[in-house]
Amino acid sequence: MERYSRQIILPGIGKEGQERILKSKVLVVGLGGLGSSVAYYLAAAGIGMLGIVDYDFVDITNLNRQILYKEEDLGKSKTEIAKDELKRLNSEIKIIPYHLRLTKENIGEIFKKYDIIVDCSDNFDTRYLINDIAVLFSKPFVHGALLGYEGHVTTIDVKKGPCYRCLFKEPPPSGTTPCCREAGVLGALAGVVGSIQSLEVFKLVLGIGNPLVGELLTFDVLKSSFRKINFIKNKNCIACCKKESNNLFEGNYIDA
Amino acid sequence: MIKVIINGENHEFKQELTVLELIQYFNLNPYRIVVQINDNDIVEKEDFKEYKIKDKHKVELIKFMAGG
Repeated sequence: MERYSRQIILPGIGKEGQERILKSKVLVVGLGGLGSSVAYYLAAAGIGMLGIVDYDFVDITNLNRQILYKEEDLGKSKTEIAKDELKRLNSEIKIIPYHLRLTKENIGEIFKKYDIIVDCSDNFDTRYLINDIAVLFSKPFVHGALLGYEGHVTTIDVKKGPCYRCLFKEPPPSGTTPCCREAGVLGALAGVVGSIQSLEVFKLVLGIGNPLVGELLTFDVLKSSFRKINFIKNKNCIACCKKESNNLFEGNYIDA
Repeated sequence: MIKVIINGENHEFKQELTVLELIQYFNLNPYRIVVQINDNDIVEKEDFKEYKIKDKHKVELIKFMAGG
């Protein structure tokens, strides 16, 4: 426990809190800019079982922000490299790699094993899929996203507040909203947003502070400003307020 | 004259304007924005042309983002 001594002494943590961290199971979806930060900080703090999901391979254009990878890793599987890096940081935790793209068919079996999901993905299909399965399973997830010089974080816990679709009902039409490849991103912004996502995970695991449930935290790099936007459950929400069934919402995301 | 708060900042307009006019005023793409009025009301896209922004409204123009 000596390695965790600097966090154990914090009010609200202690040895009991550290035990909770060591027993927790967190799934990080996406090992890009956000996922790199999140995975590192969760592993460093001792999250006992860390699932990491990505289907991609390391590319030179990743290296300005995806700090899990180095030049020698070009062309290699992100989950493979990430697992090795995270194990070097903390050999005491369990890392479970999933070298795949999440789909309606596989997401349920994977999610069931985890307490908390962290959405570090880079496309709307996956984001809406994560929301809908989290709603179905009543599991909390921490959403983070980037666009240019701005970032978002919110924590979705449908037992306590709105879901992602209560605010962002459906994805925008294909081609209208750029990803990092098109809009650009500074690595450090991914670091800021990913770090805040990590902190949200710890608040959920430890039951401390006020997780961003029903609040969208926005960060503007150029203004150096954080703002919080409140949002509430939409009583007509097609995901969390629909009356029927236990089936995954047949929504407008595709089987990628 | 109406006084409104847009994304946390005070703005004045000579008269009421529609959500669509407001989005265009800020050079935003209506397909990439969620519009929230007074913390609770999300304006549906099909209502952008009709929904009027009024005096003392608190408006959030929230961008869709998916980058990771």
